[in-house]
Amino acid sequence: MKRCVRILVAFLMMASLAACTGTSSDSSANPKKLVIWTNLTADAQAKVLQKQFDEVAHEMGIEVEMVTVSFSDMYTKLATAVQSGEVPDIMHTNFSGAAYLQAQDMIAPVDDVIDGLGRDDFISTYLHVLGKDGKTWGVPDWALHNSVWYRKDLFAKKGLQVPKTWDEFEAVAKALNTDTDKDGKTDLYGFAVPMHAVQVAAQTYYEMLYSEGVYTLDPQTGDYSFGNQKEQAVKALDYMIKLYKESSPPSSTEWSWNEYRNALVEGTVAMTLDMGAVVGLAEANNPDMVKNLGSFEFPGPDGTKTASLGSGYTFVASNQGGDAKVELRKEFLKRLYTPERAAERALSRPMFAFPSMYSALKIYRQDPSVAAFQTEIDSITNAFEHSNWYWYGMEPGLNQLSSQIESTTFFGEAIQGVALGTRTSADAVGYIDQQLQEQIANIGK
Amino acid sequence: MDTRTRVIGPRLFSRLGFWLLVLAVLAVVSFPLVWMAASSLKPSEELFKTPPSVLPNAPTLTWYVEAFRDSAALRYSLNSLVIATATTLICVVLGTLGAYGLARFEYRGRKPIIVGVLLAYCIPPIMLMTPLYRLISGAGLNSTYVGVIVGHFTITFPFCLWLLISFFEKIPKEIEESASVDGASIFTIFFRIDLPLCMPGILSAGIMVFILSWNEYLLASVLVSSDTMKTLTVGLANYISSTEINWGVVMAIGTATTIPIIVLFTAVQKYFVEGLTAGSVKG
Amino acid sequence: MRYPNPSATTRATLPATRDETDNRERRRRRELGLVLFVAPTVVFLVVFVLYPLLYNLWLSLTNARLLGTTPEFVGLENYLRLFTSSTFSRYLWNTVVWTVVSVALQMVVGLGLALLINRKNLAFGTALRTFLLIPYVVPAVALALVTKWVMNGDYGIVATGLQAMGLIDHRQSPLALPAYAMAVVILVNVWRSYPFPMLIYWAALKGIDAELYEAASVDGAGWWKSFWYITLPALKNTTIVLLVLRIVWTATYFDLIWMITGGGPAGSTTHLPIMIYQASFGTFQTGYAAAISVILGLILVAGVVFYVRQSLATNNTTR
Repeated sequence: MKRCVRILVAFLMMASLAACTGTSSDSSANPKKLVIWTNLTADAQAKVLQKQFDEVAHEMGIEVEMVTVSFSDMYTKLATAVQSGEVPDIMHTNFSGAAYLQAQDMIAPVDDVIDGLGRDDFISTYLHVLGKDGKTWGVPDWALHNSVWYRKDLFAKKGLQVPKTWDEFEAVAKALNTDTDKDGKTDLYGFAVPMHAVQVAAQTYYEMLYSEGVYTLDPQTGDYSFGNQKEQAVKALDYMIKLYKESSPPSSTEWSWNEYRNALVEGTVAMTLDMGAVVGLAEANNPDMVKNLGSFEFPGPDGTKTASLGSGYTFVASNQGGDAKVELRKEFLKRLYTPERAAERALSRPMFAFPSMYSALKIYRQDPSVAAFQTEIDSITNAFEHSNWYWYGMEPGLNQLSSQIESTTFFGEAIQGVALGTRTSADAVGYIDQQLQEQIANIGK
Repeated sequence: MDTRTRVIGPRLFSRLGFWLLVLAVLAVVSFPLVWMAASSLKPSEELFKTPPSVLPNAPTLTWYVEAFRDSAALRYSLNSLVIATATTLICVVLGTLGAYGLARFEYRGRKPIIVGVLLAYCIPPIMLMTPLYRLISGAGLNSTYVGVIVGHFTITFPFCLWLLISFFEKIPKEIEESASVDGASIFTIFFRIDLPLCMPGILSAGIMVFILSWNEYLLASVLVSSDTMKTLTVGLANYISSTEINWGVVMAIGTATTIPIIVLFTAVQKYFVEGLTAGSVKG
Repeated sequence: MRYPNPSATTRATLPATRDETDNRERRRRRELGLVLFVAPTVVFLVVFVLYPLLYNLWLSLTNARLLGTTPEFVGLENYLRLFTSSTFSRYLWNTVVWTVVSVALQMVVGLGLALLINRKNLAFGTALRTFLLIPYVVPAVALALVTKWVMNGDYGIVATGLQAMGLIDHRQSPLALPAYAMAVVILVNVWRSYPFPMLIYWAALKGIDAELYEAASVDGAGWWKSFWYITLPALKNTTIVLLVLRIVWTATYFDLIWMITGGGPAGSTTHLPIMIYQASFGTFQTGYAAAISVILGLILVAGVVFYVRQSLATNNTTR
């Protein structure tokens, strides 16, 4: 008994000693130090960022600390950081994250940085997303674009053509369903319709909504628009659920990025909507599959597609801590945007990330890792430059609504309900409409 | 408490039936743990084979190597250890004092305090989450050991106190009354008489607090935003992200999180049983 | 257990003078000591329990958000919004199903296993009891992850087993079907929480007078009869207290459901704690989250008051 207690006490003392050593660093005091947060937790991406940050810090003779913050807890962390006044100097986040920070008045406009680098070199749609009140609030790093990634070999085998309308798409998806081992059960499904409640359901749905011309907010006027387009929204939802029932694995109601990408790479679905991440995954897990993969644009209902879904990453600079510190941050950003560095960052996730500058894009195309996908690059960059692409809730430019959509699950809840037969699609659209209006009112306050 | 002389009357099952039932129960109880441990030892081909085999044919430690090769998992373990230990230390010291004061003396205001402790014991973490988050973040203690320790202390202290009160109540008052007549001060009596007598109780309360803190997820996930300060449970939950799930690594870290707790628990289960049966429900 | 060592006893035996003033001095010092002992507890109750609860109540009357803008008083707006929201009644119902079924099952399983380990002349009794207690200390996160793994529609042993039996579709996961998902989280919760009632029941069973059973046995009563007429009545108080305690904890338990289903599919496992979490960290509406937790608290407070009374009553009788 006594010995037990002694051991316990000794152990407790050791642990409390250890407790005193763990402290976190603070940048606000040091004028020569920048703290940078990035949401990119994947090894390959984080490594490139760390390397570039170190290089630039060395050039400028300052100190840099990079913190990786996983996307799932980004909003909580930002809220905490804002509350305690410890906002990072620079943040590398997606467009919604930038919208959130801008709404909290935590970041500075960066038009001077963009002009300094040459505004014309930036693809204009990238700048549009980050614009609000006539200013640009982030330097776009790269963007991603939703396309249908598909098995070219299976299309060839079954003699299928790239579909141009919703009906054609549905027929192709159905035709791709295959019972490989002839046991009466489908082993290869035509088209994955992932509906995970966190973001994924909304992303799948929005591709259909945009292709039909339904928006959350009107891209021109900025007014709430979803509520006036409910009829079309119901049509898009019905179509999506039909695709799910006819050609998607039953459990895909709970699928997130991980599951549907794996399914394509491992050969259990033949098509899926994705932002090109399947290429990197195939290279890592199933290299034989890479040559079979290709992409095309998800079609519009009758062939003409109004818009598509896309988002991307941007660097934003905190407006806190005085002009000198803000200038230091901007100088740092400027140096990150040599064409080589911009291309290298995008290439750390090839075919997923597409650089925001023409000069960087030129370097990007010549890289061996994307050599096999020149047609896909053409089609995706063409969509970036010439068609309309939006991120949910940010059709007219930066808007906090998108971060509210990302951190809540009402889209997923409503859509899954329809897939599982517990709601009608009109019901689901009504619920989404009501929730969106509530969120908008909520942001306004 | 001698099981040999205890009589419980007629039996429902024959000896054989009884042990068959026991075996079935053991199978159900051990299934998730055995499956987790077995999965953590299966190489990739076996992990993703249908139908799966129960035990690994070619056991391998690669998932463990992969899990603990990057320092994050080790760091999470250290954080959990520090936080659980500090919470235990503070809870036990303050709990012992409080329990002694509440169990051994009669005075006005004693009952309301005991009721307060009991109420606090019933307040669930989810209700303290919002105010604690605001208070701790507001004080700049987010992502610090102190912040999480305060959070864990809040949810474990009432339980610890409640457990200890029942232990102190069991000590016969006569022992200390004789000392009191001899003129010993309240502190002398406490340190020299009650404390040694209550050591098993204190130990069991400490273990309970340690386990509660080690296993706690909600407050730790809310109160920590920096990656290096995460506890093992929060870190573990993050291994299942929507973009990547490495089941082998997840099972390995899950097993590594669970085993120390089971070992610790088995070593001291006697006090644990004593504590739980003494403190939680009376009568 | 050890008794005080000799040196302690000698130190305690001081030369004692017993006149009036000395006595008063001693009482004064005793009271001072008491204050020192109890003070940390009182401070704790005020600072970490009373204050957060009042603060929560106040937040529920404001439009506080996760971010640092100064909260403004909005009266009962949050409560009105909650009661008119289309989801509240549904989530409340989920909470009721989750709580009632979980608690009922864990009480039954707990009692059954308590009877099992209470068997006369049980070989390996302590080992068996220890083993059966293990689920109580398994981290909920680890349990949730292994649940997700065995329920995986493609590789999970349980999911593929159900598929083979034809209960669910090929490549379907139980966690993607509302009815199954609720059943899964409830069963997993029962798995990890039966040890508590088991242990408490076991302790209570040991307290039943053995002569009662002997007498019943002599009268020719079978197992069921003596269980019905002796065991169950003797466990009544224990059961009431256990019920209240387990209901409070289960209704507010967040971790397991959150990590297994996240409240899905289609909100079918979303209960009030998840609703609170989502209001707080999903839409960043701290005030609204506080209002939901106040309502949840009020629903449970009746139960707690009941428990306190019951517990104090038994406390007094054992004293």
